[in-house]
Amino acid sequence: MRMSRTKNLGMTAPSALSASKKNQKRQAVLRRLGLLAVVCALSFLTAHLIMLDAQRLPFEDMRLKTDLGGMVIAALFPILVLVGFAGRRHGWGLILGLVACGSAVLAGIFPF
Amino acid sequence: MRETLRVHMGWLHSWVGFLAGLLLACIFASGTLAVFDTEITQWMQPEVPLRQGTSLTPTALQAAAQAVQAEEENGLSAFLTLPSQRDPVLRVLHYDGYEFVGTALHSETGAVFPARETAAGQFFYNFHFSLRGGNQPGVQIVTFLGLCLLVAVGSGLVIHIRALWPDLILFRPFGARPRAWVDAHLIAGVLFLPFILFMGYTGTAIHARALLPVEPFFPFHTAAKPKKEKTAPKGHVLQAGPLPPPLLPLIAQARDILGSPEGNLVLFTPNEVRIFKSDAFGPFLTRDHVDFSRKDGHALRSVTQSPPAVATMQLVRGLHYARYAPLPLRWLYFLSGLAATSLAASGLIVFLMKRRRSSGEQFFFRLAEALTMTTVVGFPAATLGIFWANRCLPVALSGRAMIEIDLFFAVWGLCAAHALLLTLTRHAALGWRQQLGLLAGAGCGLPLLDLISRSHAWGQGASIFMASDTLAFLAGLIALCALLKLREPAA
Repeated sequence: MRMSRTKNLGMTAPSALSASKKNQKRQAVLRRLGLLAVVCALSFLTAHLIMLDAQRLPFEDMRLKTDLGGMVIAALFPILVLVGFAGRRHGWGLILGLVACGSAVLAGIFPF
Repeated sequence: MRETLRVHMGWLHSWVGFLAGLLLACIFASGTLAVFDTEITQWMQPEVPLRQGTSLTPTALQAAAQAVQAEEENGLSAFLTLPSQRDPVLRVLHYDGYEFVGTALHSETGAVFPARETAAGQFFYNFHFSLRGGNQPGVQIVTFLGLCLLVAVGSGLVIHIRALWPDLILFRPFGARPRAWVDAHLIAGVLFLPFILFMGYTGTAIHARALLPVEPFFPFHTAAKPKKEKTAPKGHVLQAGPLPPPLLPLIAQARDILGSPEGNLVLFTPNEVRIFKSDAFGPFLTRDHVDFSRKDGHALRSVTQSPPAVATMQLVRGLHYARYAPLPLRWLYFLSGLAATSLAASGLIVFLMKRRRSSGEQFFFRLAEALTMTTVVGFPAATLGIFWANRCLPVALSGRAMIEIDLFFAVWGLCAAHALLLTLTRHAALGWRQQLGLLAGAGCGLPLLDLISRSHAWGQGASIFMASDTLAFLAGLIALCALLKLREPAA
């Protein structure tokens, strides 16, 4: 990135610019880490709820039910993390994650 | 810097890829070796001849049944694997908490082969799905890493999708070093993407229950748990059963029903003899079996039909485990596994190269470099160490299998300590060169060791010994090339 040479050059020392850039970078990383932590927690909770929902499938074999739940989770969890992390504008990624989590909660409450 | 989607996802790909990749590379490598687990066991037990047929005699089965009963009297739950084209030996095995180990019998005379004790190919199989850490936390960690792999692959696709087609087969090995490594990473990732995605997905799905148990984390009410019946720990029995009836007619009857003419599994409970279909017949990893009474041998039941939902899981398992695969397909699995391993390893190197200029002096960078060295060079060196240990340790040494495994972890640990010492004292380049030298020596020297140990005749099963030695030699040669390349000044 090209640094602009403005009239205020004498007032802003290069070290201060570098420190401010570093600070910005640190804040960006912290924001990303925070978002990732929230997204992962939400996705994990959704995955756990889906595993519980899978126990209500109409099969006798308990192992089969957990296996099928596992298949859904292995596909859904990475998608939820990626979508939640990618959709930053207006927080639509998080909203989508919340919708998925809410759907899993509702599926556990209502009979199917 | 503008926070575009590509930058955002690039950050996720770099960090999830690096942190998970340190272990994923080892998981890929051990899974690749586990494709040939039976053949590795055969290399490591050269005393077991491989020229026998798959025919069974009542004498051999009687000897095997007696061996099973003797194991049961020691509290171990033993079972039989019947000879097959791939492994023409009758084996009496038991689970030791990690691997299936036991004796090999001649399929016609029933004589026990005086084979050296080894965990061999089973060790790599166990390491692949549990890092040899049991169900908790081993399988849980590997399953979590499987999810990380899928996230890293997904984010990698997002950042690379625009250049996917023009860069599909672009490889510039003689370009600048960072460019060459990125090309290698991309080419392995793009060409083997279906395999990596499929194996990552199926591997995670198979063990997802280990990570997300079916019991709620926050129970709404605390119901009294039903009392569990007293059961033996896995691989053990509470009481020994009677000597089974003659097994040959039971096996013939079961083979007719199961359509599995060889390589079946025979399990024993105190009251029943269960004969299972071999995994080699079809991609569905079925557990079809025919049960007989252990007292008089009369047929009790047969389970041969699977509902569609069960069949789906059987297919997922079967395609991941690749036990059905004929030899050419197993080589394809092996090569794809190697590509996945190189994808993870090259990703680790690219991560370091990108940050060396800006963060090369920081403690965490040096720690990351030490861990990368431990994974990229230390793990193959430790793997070759287990092969060396197999030939160097005395054949009749007691507890030999465990010593081999201990030596594997000792070599890996020493590589880690060496890497840490040299990177933290700012001698990382020397560390890379020394470890690559060790790997080159261990790989190139293994065929020679196999030759001078005179542990087997080269006439029988020569292909297994020659293929293993050649692959070890190639690994050594690659390490030697990397070592020579590292001596050149960077382009």
